[in-house]
Amino acid sequence: MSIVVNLNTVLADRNLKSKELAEMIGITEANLSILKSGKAKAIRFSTLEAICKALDCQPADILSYEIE
Amino acid sequence: MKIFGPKSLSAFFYYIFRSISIALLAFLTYMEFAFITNRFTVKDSRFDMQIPLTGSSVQGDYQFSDILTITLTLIFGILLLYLLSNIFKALKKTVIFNKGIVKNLKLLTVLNLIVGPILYFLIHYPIMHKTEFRNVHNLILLVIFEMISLFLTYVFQKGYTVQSENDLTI
Repeated sequence: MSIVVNLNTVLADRNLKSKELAEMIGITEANLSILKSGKAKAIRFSTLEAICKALDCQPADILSYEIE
Repeated sequence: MKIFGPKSLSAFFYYIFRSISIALLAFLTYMEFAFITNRFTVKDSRFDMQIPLTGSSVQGDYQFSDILTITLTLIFGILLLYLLSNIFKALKKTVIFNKGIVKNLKLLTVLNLIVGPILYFLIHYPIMHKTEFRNVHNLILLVIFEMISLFLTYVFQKGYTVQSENDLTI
């Protein structure tokens, strides 16, 4: 997929663990893992909003587009 | 009454079809065992076999072709009912668009499309040596079942894809 999820980088910058973020945004660790691995087919605006709020960042910090 | 999911009409049909398929399998096993061990009587070239616990009996022409026809038809019936029970078993799950139902619908299509007609012509000509083309309604019914199961297979396959994509929406 040409949409890349940079959640690992943002998490490392914030010194946060996946488990902590999952608890903060109210999704399971398994779903967060799917999102981080790029296996997710889509992301809800509500999830994106929760991630941006928890990590104090913009959607562009998490998602980027790369030409295949 | 609910159609799908646990404690639904699907669950009821699962138990019904599974019970009938097991009963038919037991009947077939008993019949074959009775033929092997000579537990039947022959009168006027017709066999008479008592069915235990029911008080009824099975009768037919005492010829290899007739016995083979009964056996093959029963095996086909058992397979058909077993697959139907598997389909209803998949429908009684909470998520009805699952791999199990797609797999069993595919098998049902193959059974009706390939095995059914082959068995029909096999019984009609090489086994029973019939010269007329009779009982064509059985073949027509098989083709109708095949068409329904073929379309249902693709409906459930599409549903399974949509379900998977929905599950992967975070």
